Amino acid sequence: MQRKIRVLIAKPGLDGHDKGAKVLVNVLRDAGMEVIYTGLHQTAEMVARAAVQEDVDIVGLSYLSGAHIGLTQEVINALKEAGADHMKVIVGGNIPERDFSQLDTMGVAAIFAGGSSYDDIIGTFNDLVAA
Amino acid sequence: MSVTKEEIAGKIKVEAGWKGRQDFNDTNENDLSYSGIPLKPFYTADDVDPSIGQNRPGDYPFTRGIHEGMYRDRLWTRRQYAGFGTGKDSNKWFKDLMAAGQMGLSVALDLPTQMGMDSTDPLGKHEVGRVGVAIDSLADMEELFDGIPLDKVSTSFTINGTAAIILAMYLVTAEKQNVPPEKIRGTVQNDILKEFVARGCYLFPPKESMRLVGDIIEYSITKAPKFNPISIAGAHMKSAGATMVQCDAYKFANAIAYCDEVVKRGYSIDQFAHQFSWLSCSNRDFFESICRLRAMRTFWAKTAKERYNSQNPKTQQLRIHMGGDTDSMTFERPMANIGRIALYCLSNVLGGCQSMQLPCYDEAYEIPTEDAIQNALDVQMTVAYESGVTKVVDPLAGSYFVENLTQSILDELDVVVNDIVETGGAVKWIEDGRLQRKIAQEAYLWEERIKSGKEVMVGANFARDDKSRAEYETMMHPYSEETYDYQANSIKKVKEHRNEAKTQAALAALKTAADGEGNLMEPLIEAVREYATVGEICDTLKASFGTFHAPTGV
Repeated sequence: MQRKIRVLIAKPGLDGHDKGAKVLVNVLRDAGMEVIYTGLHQTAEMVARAAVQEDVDIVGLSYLSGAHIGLTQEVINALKEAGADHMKVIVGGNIPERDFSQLDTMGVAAIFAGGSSYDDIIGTFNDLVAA
Repeated sequence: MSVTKEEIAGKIKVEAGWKGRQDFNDTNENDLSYSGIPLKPFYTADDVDPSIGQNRPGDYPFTRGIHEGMYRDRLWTRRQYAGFGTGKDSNKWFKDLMAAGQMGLSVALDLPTQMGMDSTDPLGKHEVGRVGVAIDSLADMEELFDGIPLDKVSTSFTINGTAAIILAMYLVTAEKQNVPPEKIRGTVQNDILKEFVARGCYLFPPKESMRLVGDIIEYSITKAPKFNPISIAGAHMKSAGATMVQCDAYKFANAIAYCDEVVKRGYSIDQFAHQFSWLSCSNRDFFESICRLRAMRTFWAKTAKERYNSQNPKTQQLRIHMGGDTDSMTFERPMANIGRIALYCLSNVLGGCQSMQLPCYDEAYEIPTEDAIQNALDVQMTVAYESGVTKVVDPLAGSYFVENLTQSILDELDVVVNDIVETGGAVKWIEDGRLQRKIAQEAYLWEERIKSGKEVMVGANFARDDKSRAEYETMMHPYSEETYDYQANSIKKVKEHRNEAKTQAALAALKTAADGEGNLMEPLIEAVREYATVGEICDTLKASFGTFHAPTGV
């Protein structure tokens, strides 16, 4: 049997708005993925540790406070340090378009700003893992 | 992926006693209010209790308004939410806002301040000054209110987990202006229970958090009687996904927990609850929003009188600050949001609120720009001074529909609040993750309705255009990376100039007090006065109280 896609959804930093993250957890589970949600207030190290422990394919980072650039870089560094830089990092939430290229350069595999469709997100996840 | 209603109904297990949209899955959606209350095509005299014709504004149970004259005598307070960067940045902005027609200040604080960390804490360093103003010590508070007379202005702080510290700083800042505690006016939100289910800015376990809530209420009723020690909020639970009526019900369940906390210290309801402030928001359902205000007032009046034996009408009057559904502000075509906020403003006024903030048209992007805040103030002033709706009190009273919907919401509040109170109360429900689970489920259902186009959002999933987000991002509020350096430098300076021995003694006294059972406000005021930082104070309290992670509900 094919391995189910494993996803960690995380909320790095101090932002407490996690409606979108929780909705996505349910949507991805409905699409047949194994999804773990970290809860709020995660440091980059906590995210990397959880990702390694759960042996996930994709690490999804959700932000609404505007701190996505600095925090994403920290998570990518922490994953690298944990020997998990094969994991795909995706970013979602309130992400201005002007920051897309900077996130791309860091190595973020996909960005889903507010209003992204579920089909797009699920399709991208499937493609990222198949690739 | 399109999910049908039937599939949703199968997927989501409805908990007993939970009234929400999905309880009515067989009903045509035109026949439901936003929160899932069944509607009829039209209403007649048979749908209302004939005795309602005798109700008057200003009379118990205050369905028609807490004052007889309402806006004829006094308009609502216009209070837009603002704050960013350093105290110095926000100080200038506050002065500009007051010049632009604002009547009271509403202070947004940044996330490290809300989470009890100094700006230099590694976990918070990317969030300094971003969603509000950064406050690390008394020095920042002094800068924030420099030249703003604290006996003249009323100030509302959106602060919860660290509310006691921020209040202590405000009191000492006032003291330095020779303004005694009994003269300060304003509000700290101090509604910690909703932080556990939405918003997430809590620091300590529920029991210790409730102690601090009680300490603030106790301090303010004895020392700062014009200050509102709590603003019990429902709006944030909407942002987390709850229906509007769920928000109202959960808010009242939380309020009962707060009242019980203070009553058990030996106070009667009439000694403190007259200083309660309430916070909620209107949303896309215009009539439901109006009726919710009428029903909330009625529910609280009856709760105060029947549950807590209140004799004082002031205690029974629900004084409410209303916002508008911030979640409904679209990224797409942000100017379409101005229509939405005008409707929210009108329903808040027709429902009879006491003060108001509106979301701003650029709210989906970032904290609002000055232009967008001015626009929200303009909307409020247009309704206040041009529309004429302020001339007659509770103008929709007697509408068969409005009266019937008010009663239906009231019935729903009775059912949901009683269910929570009779099965352990709000604190227990939060510790068990039950409220979080209900809200997460409701969020999922609503998002599905938007995604599938069953619910229209103009410009977002209906009548879209091809403009990219980037075209609108030029109007975003700027963030200055220098804020972090400014704050780090400010902490450094404060630590150099303060009397270190006195600071440490005040922190030690705070620790002793926290280990005991007494009220913590005085020890907090002393620590703040000696320029202990927010982070130092919270670390001291954590050493006594421990920390907590609320169940997520998914």
